[in-house]
Amino acid sequence: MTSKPSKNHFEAALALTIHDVKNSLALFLDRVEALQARDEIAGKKYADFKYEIKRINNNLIRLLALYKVGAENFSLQSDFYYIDDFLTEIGAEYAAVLKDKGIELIIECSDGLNASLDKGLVHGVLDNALNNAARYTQSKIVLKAVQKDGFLILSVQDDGPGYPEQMLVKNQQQMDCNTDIDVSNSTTGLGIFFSQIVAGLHQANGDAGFIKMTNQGDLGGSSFSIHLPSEEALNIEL
Amino acid sequence: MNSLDMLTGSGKSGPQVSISGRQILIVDDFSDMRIAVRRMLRDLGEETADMASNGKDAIEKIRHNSYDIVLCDYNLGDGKDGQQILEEAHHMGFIKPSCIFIMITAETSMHFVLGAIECQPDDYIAKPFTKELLQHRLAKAVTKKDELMDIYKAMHKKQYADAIKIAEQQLVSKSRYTLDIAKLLGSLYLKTDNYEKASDFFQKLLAQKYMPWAKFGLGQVYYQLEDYTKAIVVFDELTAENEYYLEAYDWSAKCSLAMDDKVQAQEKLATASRISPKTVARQCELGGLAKENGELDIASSAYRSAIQYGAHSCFKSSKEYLGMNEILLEKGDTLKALSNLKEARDQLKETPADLLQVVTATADVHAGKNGKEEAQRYLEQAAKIYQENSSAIPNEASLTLAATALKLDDMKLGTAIVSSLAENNHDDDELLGDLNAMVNETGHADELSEIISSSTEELRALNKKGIQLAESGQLKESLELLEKAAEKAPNSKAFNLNTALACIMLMKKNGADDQLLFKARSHLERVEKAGKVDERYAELTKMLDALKR
Repeated sequence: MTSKPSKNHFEAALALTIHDVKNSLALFLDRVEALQARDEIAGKKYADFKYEIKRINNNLIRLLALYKVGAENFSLQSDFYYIDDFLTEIGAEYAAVLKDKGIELIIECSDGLNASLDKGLVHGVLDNALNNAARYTQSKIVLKAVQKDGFLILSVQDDGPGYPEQMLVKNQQQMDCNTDIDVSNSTTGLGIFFSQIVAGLHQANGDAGFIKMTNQGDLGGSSFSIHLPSEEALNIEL
Repeated sequence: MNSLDMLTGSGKSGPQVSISGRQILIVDDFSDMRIAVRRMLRDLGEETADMASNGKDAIEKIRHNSYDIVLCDYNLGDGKDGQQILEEAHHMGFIKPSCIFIMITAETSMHFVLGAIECQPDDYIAKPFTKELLQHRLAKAVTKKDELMDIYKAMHKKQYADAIKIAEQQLVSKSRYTLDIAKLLGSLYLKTDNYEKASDFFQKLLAQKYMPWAKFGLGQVYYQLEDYTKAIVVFDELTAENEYYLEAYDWSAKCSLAMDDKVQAQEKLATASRISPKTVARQCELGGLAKENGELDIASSAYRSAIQYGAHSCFKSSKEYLGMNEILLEKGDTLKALSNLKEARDQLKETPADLLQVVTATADVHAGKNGKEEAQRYLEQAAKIYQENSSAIPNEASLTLAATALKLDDMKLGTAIVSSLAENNHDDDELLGDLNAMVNETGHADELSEIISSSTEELRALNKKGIQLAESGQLKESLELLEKAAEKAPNSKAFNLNTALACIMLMKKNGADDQLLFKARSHLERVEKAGKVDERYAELTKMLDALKR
């Protein structure tokens, strides 16, 4: 007896496929690291491999996340986190790739800053921004968190040439007219679309999150930021 | 500001913890993955690590080695999953409080919600990960564990009041691990029935930030305060937010049950079992509910799953087989019922309490289909198990055996069990009620009611005398008397606790003494074994610990 694949089949297939591809990526990463360890002089050439592995993984995560967000029973999985921990950890993930590429990653976050957010989704957004920055920066990337006017602002900034003017204009237009980002013909568009969705899902005190892309970063290059509505630090009294 | 070099190297804000010299276990069903993780560990300075490819192997290794770190993949194919390994190892007491258990998953949404708080891994890592990330997480987990060690140790010894005190102090002193401490503290308030404090605590947290676990805690408070409608709303919201929040389904079902809505309760447990079919206890409960709701097919499939997943785990018990037995009998399939019980006897050889119940049930089934001779044979077998393991047999099992013996007119065995039950539980009115009901139902009230009341009274009088002696300062005499009584009723909580107390009082007066220490300890252990641990038990354990120092 055979039947047409249903939505449940697709869901199961998606989950299993991702599990499987992730296993492959983990092995691939391991082999690359083993090769690199044997070949220190040419270490840099492996950075591209690692960068691509990271990109495939990020794409997978984004795909799964978008699928889930679109599902009927989706809801945000917010929990409370220390943001400095969160950023340091992302930093550790990118350490090898960036070091090999000769890029310095600077993390700026005040000690003990905390907020409620969906870590998985926001991680995906920052991955997307870091991937971009890694491609276009000259020598430095800043990953930064500040709490300001009821928002937690997470930003990724670089000292590259910045976003193309035309892209910023187009984004602005779309945001002004409240139309959807065009995702049909570029993965950059898909990344922005995903980031906007994730930001918008974070809501608190009547505010919704949003993203901002400018060329006025601390390092002179591009600056991507996600702004999430967030209260002041947690204060536990007994 | 910290640069990445500091993080991975020796910078002041980077993790400083070295992992070399630690005993590590890697669990993954993929040999390539195991090797990859081991290579990472080698790069991080740890030369050796053990490896396991499945749940059975992992638990064996955890049992025989005292690992400092376990890195376990969640998805291990057809066998046990990572959470089951953790729960079993925890349940069997194989995991020392200082052990760091890290779960490796493919998906981040499963994090934080898979199991009960005392069985949660120290951290989760999503695949694929780099050695830098692994190092970072390990270092963080080690530091956190060190910081929270005093709380964990007190919890491990079941000294919850102490654990609360430590947690409260650490919370006030603004530790870096405020959040983790808060989580533990909340669960400790709940564990010690401190609902007012718990409610206040969770509400204060939730007023500031959204944390699912705090909301879950609040739901438990509502349940305990019998506000089931409010509790259900909380639990259902949690599962709507995250379908992997399995415990929330269980609690929602508990609420429905409390409101006598068995259909709804069944529904919740069925959902949780679909998401995670391998939890034996939940499948058993689902089976029981479905049976009560008249859904025999669902009940039978739940019990079948419980049997299947229980077969190779420490969570297997007579429950699922006996549940299945009832279903098969109700369907009139005696043959299948007998073969199910045979499988149960094979599976449960090692645990006398479970085996006893299954053998008793076998005798019952034979008796029911007029196989008197066979029934006698199994009753004798059951009697033998009972006699050889009397201290390990739970009351419920003894009660059923007594009933079967009386039904089959074995008055000698029936009377012996009834009087032993009465003696051992002279302080438990509920059980004495059940016991009287049972002798009534089997038509032996005339002969046995008298035995129950006389055994009970004799022991009650002894206990009273022992306390009086102690109060008048005759500690040695008191101990002698209580000990004798405890021999007569080895499972009696009152005697075991009072005997331990008498030992402790004697030592307080005359100084610590190896023999008395041993005696006190073994009586406390009996209480623990009988599953009767309470505040008084905890208090005595603490007093005993203080004496040892």
